[in-house]
Amino acid sequence: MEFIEYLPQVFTGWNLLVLLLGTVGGLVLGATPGLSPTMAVALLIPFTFHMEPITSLILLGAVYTATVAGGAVSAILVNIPGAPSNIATILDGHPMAQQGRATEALHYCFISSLVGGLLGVLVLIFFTPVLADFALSFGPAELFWIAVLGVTVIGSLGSKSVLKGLFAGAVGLWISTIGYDPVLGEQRFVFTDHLAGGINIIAALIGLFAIPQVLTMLESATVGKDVSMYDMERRSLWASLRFNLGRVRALTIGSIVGIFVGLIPGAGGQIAGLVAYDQSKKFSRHPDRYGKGEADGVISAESANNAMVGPSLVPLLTLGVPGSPTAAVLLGGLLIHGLFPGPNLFTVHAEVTWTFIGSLLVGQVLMAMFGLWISRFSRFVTRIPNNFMAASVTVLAVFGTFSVQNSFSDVLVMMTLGTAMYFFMKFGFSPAPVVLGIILGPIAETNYAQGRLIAQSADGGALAYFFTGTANLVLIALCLASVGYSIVSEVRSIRRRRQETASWQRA
Amino acid sequence: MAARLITIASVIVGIFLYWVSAGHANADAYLFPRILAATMIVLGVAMTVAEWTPAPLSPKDTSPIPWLTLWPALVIFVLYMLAAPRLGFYLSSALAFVALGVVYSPADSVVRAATRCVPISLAFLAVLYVVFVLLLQVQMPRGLAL
Repeated sequence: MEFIEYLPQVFTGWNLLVLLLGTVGGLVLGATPGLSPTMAVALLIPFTFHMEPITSLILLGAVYTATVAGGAVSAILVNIPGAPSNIATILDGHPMAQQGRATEALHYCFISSLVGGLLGVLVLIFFTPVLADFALSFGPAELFWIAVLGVTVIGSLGSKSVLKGLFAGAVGLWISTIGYDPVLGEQRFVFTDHLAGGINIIAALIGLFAIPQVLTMLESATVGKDVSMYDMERRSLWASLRFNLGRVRALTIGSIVGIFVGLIPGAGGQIAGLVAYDQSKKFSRHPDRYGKGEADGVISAESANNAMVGPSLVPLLTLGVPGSPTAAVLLGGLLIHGLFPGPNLFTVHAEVTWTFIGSLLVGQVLMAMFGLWISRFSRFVTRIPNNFMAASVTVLAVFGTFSVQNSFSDVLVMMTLGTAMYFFMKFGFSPAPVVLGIILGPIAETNYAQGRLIAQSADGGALAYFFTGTANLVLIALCLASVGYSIVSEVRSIRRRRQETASWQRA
Repeated sequence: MAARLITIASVIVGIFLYWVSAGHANADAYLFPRILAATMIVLGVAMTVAEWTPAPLSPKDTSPIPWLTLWPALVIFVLYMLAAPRLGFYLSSALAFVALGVVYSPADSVVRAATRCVPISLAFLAVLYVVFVLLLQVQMPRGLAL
């Protein structure tokens, strides 16, 4: 098995060092409220640009894994989730800390993250090659629909409003057309010299994820932080380990939910944690204890959000459709190294891909080992004032963006896109579909153009080429299903809101 | 009201993008952007209909923009972008760091905020210098000073 063949590469000096640094850094970044995993990975991409592809992917993967788990530290100790995926952890983790059980909660958090994370990576190892082989038969029409599916799914499932999500995705796709036409070479929509080379993916990623976060931090910076932190009691790790591994029901529910949510493109860790928590409560013999410091609440939420990490890379590595917004940023990290998702990753670039997957597995173990140790120190980063955090992220975003192509135009594009995104977010638009549109735009357009050329010499023309064939029809059905599911959910919530408004008016 | 206006703005953006994508000599190169702009128009119209029905059909997902709090940050961003190529990345970044740190400091005293911000900004930029120039060997633009 190729996975076993390339696993030793993870332990070579430089790779192991980068994995350690990424894990420790990710845990600290994850514990910092306001620094989401998506933003952390986006800000790191410029640094990886100058590295070997293997090393860069190991670093990004380690940070992705560790930030998701590290976010639980501030969720438990100060009632602020370090990342959106840790929202469900607060519900029982913080009450445990209030009861003087902070260390116990952190033990469960990292042990459960390890169990969920390992199972998630195993799904990645066994599922990915199968799906990649299947993708081998895809032509331009199928690849075009896959790109559309990526934007549709993240636009409809990843946003509150399906229409706004899809609109944001279309805007991202349109932005990707700025610059040179990938097939005909014609220069398009270059309104200023700064856009002559098109929109750089990394500049867009950093701008869209970091700058809105900076402005959001500044909104409340002058108020200061009222951080009341709970001390960590002394507790035996073995006692926690025995108890935690004995909570089979909570671990199983969390891991299964996390794996399924991860496989659904666009869903992300926040949904995984909340759904797992809800299901764990429903199946519990003591649902009344949830929200009051129930250990199973922490165990299910944390096993779910880390179980999501591996499977979220399955559609990314095989089809180019990310399973979460952070996976979308990782896609940008792959593309800047000339690694295109699909079967080639497992044949031409097998060494890079399998070493990366191996590092995710080893990273889960390191995350659990260092998490408990780092949490004693990383809880202090929650005290860093927002004004310093915002200033640091702004300057880092400028330096990082410039370093990719030594281009000040990229910096201007990054700042403009990021500031505009902040205002759009105030109106309910989300950055993830825009980013995915920018990333998948060239793939969609190139395959669309190639498909049209092939269709000219085929019977039935472009309509038949793009709308017939089992794979095409399945992909179109998936696009429609994701939009349809979101519309049904939205209509249900509208009905509920209307009923609530009517009953409120009657009262 | 703002939520309704943004839906109309979405339609206008779609129409504008369709307009700039149309009427070019090499029409094939603009076909994909035209399809996208047309899609945006359709989605914009649907958003407008959903928002302008008697009981809004779209979820409440808008929040007010805190202009009073944010205008200094936006001014600092603009000045930073103007200063960076002229003063150099290090000096302009230090100034932007201190400006954001002081203006948005929770401390009452500007002097106290500045005395904390200046050493922190210098230390942060020293770290960036080591990482970018010494480790990654990326030369940042140098202007009047650094």
